[in-house]
Amino acid sequence: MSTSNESSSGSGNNRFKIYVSHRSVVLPGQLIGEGELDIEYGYSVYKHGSKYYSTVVGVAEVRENNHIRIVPLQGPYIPVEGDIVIGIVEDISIANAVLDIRSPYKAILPAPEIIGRQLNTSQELLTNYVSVGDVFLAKIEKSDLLRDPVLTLKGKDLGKVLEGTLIEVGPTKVPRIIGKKRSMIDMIINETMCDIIVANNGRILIRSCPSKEHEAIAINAIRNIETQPYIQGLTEKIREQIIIDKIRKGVMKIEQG
Amino acid sequence: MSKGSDIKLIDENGRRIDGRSVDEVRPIKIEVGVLKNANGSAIVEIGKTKVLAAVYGPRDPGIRTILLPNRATIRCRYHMAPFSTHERKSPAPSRREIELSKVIREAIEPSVIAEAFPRTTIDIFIEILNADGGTRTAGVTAASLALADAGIPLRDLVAGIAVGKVQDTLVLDINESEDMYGQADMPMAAMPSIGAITLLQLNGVLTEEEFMKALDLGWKGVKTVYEAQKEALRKRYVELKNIEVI
Repeated sequence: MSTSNESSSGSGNNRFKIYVSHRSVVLPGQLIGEGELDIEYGYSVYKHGSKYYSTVVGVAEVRENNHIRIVPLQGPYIPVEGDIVIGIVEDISIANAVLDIRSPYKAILPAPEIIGRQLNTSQELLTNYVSVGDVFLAKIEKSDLLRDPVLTLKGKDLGKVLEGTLIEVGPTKVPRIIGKKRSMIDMIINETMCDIIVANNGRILIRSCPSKEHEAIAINAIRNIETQPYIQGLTEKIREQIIIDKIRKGVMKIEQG
Repeated sequence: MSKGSDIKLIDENGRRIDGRSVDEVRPIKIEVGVLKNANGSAIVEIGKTKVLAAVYGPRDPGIRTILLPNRATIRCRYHMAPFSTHERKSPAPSRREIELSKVIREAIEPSVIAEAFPRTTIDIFIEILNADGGTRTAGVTAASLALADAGIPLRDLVAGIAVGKVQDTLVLDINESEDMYGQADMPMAAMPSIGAITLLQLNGVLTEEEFMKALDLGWKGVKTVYEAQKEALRKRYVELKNIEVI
């Protein structure tokens, strides 16, 4: 049986037990708790009898009112309705484009979304408007895993990406790169003056940078977050790193006195 | 398998040919996340047996016919490298390897929450780098860790070990000589935290009493391997002190 890091019981009546402590690393098959727990379901938790087990390598988040969530440290990107993704056109059929969104599922972008009106398939080809390799910033409109997810370009900033640099990180690292209430990403944007869009599928678009050096600094900052995503006080550490990088690259000068 | 061989596999002091006691597991060395291109990978060494496992997926296989509408299809390939044995082994898949691929897949499948990824495949590749007995169980151990490393949800890690019978004595974690010259071997794999056996084979003859004893001995071995698995997985994601969850 799994070893427990911490054991606590309900308010005197022993209706539940929690075996993990806040922010501890859990492994597949590890007993998290039993009884009447408010567990955030998903595939990271598995119930066997009255006991709850973790199914992934993750971090346990134990909140008030016996609320538990397991945040996976690794995993594929599974499309969810409303997610912003950056997709690359892989194939073009008569009435839609097929996009790679770094997921096991290919996304469908219908022709009317791309050209803004119905495509007259008897008179024109979709290839006149879109090519393989084109990059789109899109939103997931429909996704039920039974059919391929459908994308939409209706929304702020959505559409074809014409310039910028694209980098990829693990999809599980995205919340950390954005930070609490966008704290991390806003800090990087302010420090580097680049326009950075972090998509839920782990693709990051960096554009409109003042210089190549600024872009390199932003990429370096994101790579640093990726290697140490779960360290406390990371925002400040990354800010320091950006300032050091700026001085090194001659973007910022040390003020005398 | 030869029965009643003249080779002395256990000495007067109860020590086996490699110096172990009858219920002792060979030294285990595990490393997780050894391959960059794979979604998950692990290398497992148990004594002289060395096994590499890589997991790719969940992914679109490009072959629509094998996809299932409600869950992921798990594919497994067990392969012995030509240099893994004393004599060169032909790299072409043998009858034994095809069978073991199926056996390992069926040992792993109950642990995987495949319903999380319908219409995809999860591909497991197991490469035997050095064979000294217990390759199928080491393969199961490595494959389970590679799946966990890939972030695929598992009910539990699957740990495997083989129990054997040599000179009328039950021994844990048999090596190649004990397998070749022993009277029986019984590979098993299980999910210890929920107490479920996922693989149990028996080659040779055991009495009912011996079988029950062998099962107990096997559980002991499985738990030893399981602890090593957990330690290796923890080590990979170590230094996660002061973790902050968003």
